[in-house]
Amino acid sequence: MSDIHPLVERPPRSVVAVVGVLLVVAPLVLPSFQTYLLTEVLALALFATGFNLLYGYTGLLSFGHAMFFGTAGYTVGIFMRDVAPGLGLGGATPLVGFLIAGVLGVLVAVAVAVPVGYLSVRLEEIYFAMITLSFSMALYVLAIQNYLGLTNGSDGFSVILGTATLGGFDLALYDRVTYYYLTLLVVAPAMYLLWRIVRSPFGLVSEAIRENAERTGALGVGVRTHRWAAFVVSALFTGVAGVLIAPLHGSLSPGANLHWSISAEPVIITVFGGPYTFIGPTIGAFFFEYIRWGITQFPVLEAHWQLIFGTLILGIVLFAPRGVSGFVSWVVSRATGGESA
Amino acid sequence: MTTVLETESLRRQFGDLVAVDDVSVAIDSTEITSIIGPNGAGKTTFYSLLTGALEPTDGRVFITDANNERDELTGRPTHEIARCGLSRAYQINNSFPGMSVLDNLRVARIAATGRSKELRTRYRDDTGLTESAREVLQMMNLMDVAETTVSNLSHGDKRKVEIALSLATDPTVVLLDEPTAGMNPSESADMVELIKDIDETTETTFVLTEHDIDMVLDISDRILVLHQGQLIADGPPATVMDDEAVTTAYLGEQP
Amino acid sequence: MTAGLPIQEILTGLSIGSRLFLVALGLSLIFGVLGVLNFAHGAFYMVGAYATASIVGAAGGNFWVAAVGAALTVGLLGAVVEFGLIRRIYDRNELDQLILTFALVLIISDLTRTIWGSGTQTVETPAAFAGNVPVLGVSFPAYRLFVIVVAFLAMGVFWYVLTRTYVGQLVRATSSDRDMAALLGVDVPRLYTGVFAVGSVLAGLGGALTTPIQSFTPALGDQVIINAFVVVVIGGLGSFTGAFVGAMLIGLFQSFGVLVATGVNQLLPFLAMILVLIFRPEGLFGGEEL
Repeated sequence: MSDIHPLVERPPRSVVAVVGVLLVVAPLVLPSFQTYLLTEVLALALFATGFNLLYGYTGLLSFGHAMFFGTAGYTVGIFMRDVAPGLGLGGATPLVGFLIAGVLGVLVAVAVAVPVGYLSVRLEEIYFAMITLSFSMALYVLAIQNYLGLTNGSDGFSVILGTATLGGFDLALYDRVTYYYLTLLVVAPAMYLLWRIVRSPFGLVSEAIRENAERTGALGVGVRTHRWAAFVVSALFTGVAGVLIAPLHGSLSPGANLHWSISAEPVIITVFGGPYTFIGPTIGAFFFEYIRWGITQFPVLEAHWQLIFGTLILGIVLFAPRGVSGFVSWVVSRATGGESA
Repeated sequence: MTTVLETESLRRQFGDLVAVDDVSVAIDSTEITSIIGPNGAGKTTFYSLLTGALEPTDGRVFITDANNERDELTGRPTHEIARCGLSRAYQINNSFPGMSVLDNLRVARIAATGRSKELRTRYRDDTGLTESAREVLQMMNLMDVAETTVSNLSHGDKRKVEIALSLATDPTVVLLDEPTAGMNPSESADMVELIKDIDETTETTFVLTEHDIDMVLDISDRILVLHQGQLIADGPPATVMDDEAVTTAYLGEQP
Repeated sequence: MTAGLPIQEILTGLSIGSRLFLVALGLSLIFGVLGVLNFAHGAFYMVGAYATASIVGAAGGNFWVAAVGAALTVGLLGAVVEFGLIRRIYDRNELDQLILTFALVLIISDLTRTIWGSGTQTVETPAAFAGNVPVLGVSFPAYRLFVIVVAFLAMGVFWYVLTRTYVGQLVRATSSDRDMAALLGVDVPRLYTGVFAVGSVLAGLGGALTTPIQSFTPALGDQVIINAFVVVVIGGLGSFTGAFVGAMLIGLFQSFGVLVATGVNQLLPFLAMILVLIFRPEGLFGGEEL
């Protein structure tokens, strides 16, 4: 969207550099639990930014993104539980096994997205939301029913990464600081790739489809195929987030990984942060995580987290429909005088 | 006569209503052709049949490109027809409102060069792309508002963006639908000059529908008259304007 | 297997479908006329159930007073929501509307839990319909039969009102062309509030009638809304015949599905929704008026 102030749409490199340095230094100064939270923020930021590639940039609201998030996570869990021990990797298993599991998890998410996307992009708006919701709920039900005996039903199972031994060097993957850096090493390049995608001709055409799908087709673009591609790419990055979250939470269950309330998370996060900027979902992830944590500090508030989040979303939809980043852009525009560039 | 766009007995029915009735035309690449007719004559439906927005009940459509290759367009999806060189500007502005004028044209250029799947480059930094988009802006006198969001433009400028989009893909034939709709006389005059200019300097063939008869007489080399879905006249302006059938069609509509 | 077994399943299916029908009808009505898909409709249903439980206690055990009271309460809630919130977002895109009504789900769920607690609630079957009656060769709970009758009655009443009365004409005209209706003198804002309120009453009534059949928790709203979505999508958004047929279908799926294997009853509705969206996205009865 061109009326977002350039400073917000493309933050200057100095800002990005500072943030980068802060992210690298953070776990060295933060208490252990805060590092855990920050790790989750990174994964959620990726989840939401991947989701927003489809929503903010292509104009398709999916209510079923949990299906990519969850299947990727479950793949990691099942692989680490059933396959990894038998691979003969010895001490390196927690790391190498996890890397293999991670790649597989993303591949599974993509494998789900290809047929689901093919069928779903024939629909628009509400119907698209409904069909993505039904696909993901169908998977949820299958997980609860312990289909193929893999998922252990509604109880789920745990995902624990131990300590990897690599040539005499120990890497405790369950350690929060270690896992934070692992996450950062994955999320940073992933976000960079998403950034490049958004700034590419593919990304601009996606935005055109969001603005006016009919005209985009009339200019010669195969709109349905383009949407399908955006769908699969969005699922891929969501899958990466799912892979990272599984060991972080230490467990998997249908309710925490496949239910529609999980699909709702990137929606809420993106609405908070603003769907029309690249960093919107990331800002939303920060807000979401720290408000959620802040609430747990006060039992009175914690019992009413739904009320709090609901009211916040209500407020944003009514008064700040472009979310926090849209609001910031507005403020910056006003402060620098008049219409943005 | 070099035929660039032709229809064979094109027909479109909606239940009992025949909106386009057995229309056969051959558009000449060297002429500016106008399609006129009273309201409801079927002009917009005719356009929709050509561009694939509607499927014909019967009949065929063909386009001949610069290499003299004849392509059948009947029944093909809109985006394929666009890629064959047939472009359209809409009566009601149909652009990308939240994006800047320059970005609007970048989209058209990306589509025209088949780069919509490209992930590698950054569209802002692609000088070739930006230059080709700016060329279209230049042609349409939109340079001043290049970075303005389309929804913030004046009506006249929005119309220009609309037409700029239809031209940006370097089409073989462009169908303009009431290009001066909603414009004041001076803006309309500018638009007429612009169309004549672009017609002379590019290979693109212009077809337009219009209600402004003076403008039509000024700009057209050939006029097609539609009435109740049928083609009742087809020829140079002088001949058509003298045609009794045409006068009856119009006078019959007047109060 | 005795010959009576399918009848039992069919009746159970119709009973499930009947309760679903009321909330689906409301959802479809609101979407058809206002163009808004009210995510919070399941929450309304839930409030209806909880209000019934409370009023029954306060009204000395009279279920009927409680049910009617609850339905009207939810209607009032709907009117307030429409007037205060929904009204502001009519010209926004459908996705913003969905998100706003989703926010309402969160808020209403929380308030429900605050007022009534998270425990399980039950309401006794009204004395008039306690016990079983013989129906088509099987012994079936009288109350469930009553609920089926209510659903058929509601369908009949709606069909009549919409096709034969002036109000119904106004509603149909406004839903097909809002601007034209306004130009013709229809007080569109008031009509909208009215329709939203009626849709809410239906949800509240559905929730009220469900209380003697199942015990419920604050999770009820979430369960219902998903099923309601399935019903209206399969039946066709905005179609009342569709809501009826869709609801009964889902009810039958759930009733028969349990026989096939556990979990199939939960899976079938989603598979059905997917199939409908692929092959006939406008729904089985979509595109037809009503």
